[in-house]
Amino acid sequence: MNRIQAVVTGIDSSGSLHRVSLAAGDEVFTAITLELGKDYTVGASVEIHFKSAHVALAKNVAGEVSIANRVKATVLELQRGKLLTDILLGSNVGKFYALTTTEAVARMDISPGDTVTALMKASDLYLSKAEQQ
Amino acid sequence: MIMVFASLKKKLVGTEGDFFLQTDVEIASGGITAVAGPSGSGKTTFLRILSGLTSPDEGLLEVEGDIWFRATAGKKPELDLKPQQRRVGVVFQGYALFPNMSVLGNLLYASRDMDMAEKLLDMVGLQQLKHVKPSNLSGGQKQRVALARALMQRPRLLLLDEPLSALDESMKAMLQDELLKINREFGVTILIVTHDSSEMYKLCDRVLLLEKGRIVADTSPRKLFVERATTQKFAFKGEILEIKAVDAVYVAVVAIGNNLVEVVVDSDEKENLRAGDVVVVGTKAFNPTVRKFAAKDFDFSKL
Repeated sequence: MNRIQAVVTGIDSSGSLHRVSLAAGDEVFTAITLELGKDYTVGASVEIHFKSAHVALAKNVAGEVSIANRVKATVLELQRGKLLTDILLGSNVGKFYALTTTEAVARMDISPGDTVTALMKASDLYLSKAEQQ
Repeated sequence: MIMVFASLKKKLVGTEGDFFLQTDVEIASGGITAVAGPSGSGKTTFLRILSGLTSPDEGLLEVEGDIWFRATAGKKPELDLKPQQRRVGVVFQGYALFPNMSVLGNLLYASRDMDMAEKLLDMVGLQQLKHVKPSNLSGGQKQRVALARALMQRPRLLLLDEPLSALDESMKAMLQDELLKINREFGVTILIVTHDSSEMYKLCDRVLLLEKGRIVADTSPRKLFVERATTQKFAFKGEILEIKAVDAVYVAVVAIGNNLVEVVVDSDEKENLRAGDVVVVGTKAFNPTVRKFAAKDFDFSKL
């Protein structure tokens, strides 16, 4: 599971549904969630968790995309399987993985050193309280 | 090597009329076989027939080449060994220990074999408690005594009828490990009645699924529970308790076993669903997150 340290900057609620705005370094994240513990307040330190299978990659992205979270990243390593490829990315908010089809990697000609945009839907992000140090 | 050959028939009285328990099964030596199925499907009767506590109407029961029961339809059995003539150990859900005897006394009552008693006490970790009376033991300890006692006569066949169902999760896991150890150490063939799919997965190499007296599935736990022909690897049967509109989506509260979960449903799904519906909640194997259980997590299994 990918993890990014972040701080809650805003919470919007509609019934039991919440949109949580987060800041991690210069990057801004948005998470949509059903349950939200009482200790998730503006200013709270949290961890954003997301599975590598929930990360899409774009290269030279142009036009509008509805996906709320976009992170500029550099391709560090590729672990190529027959059907799926696990891609290790480096970014301002740390390293994380994107799992994609090997076919897409070939089509987009993704190789180490490339600059890509990682895309994560707001409903695919999980929040957890960062461990107290 | 074939341990048990059971081609048996017995008429049973059910809530929806009489039916026949009918088995035609061979069980290999040394394995652990689960006997599963809904209540009233004949699981316990099958074990009682093997142990000699209940007689079938007809058929043949052969264990390691020895005939334990043989009868043709409508006639008196030609052979029907008494329970004590069969090398079979039995443990039922209730402990059935002698309350006036110590742990050691309970074991020696089954067989006056001090060496075997000591070995079994070591194996199930009851050495310290051997002089204690059953009333001073926990449920898990009592079931260990019952298990040790069932093994005193070095049975070739060990029959367990929901032996762990009354125990909590951690005690269950410990006794499951001990059952595996017993199976390996003594090479005893085990049949276990259980409703617990994880227990079947951990312990058993084979599952006989009974329904109204018939064996309707005879397969491995993995084939039965995991390798199902569906793309939804993560699917649970549940009941919708409530569906409420939240923002532009709907949230369904679903009871799955003893757990209550909230699931977001879209308008298309919501069209066909209402409270009280029995549903399957599923997701692809890629979606669930897995992390270690933490103390702060609510443990529904303790309810």
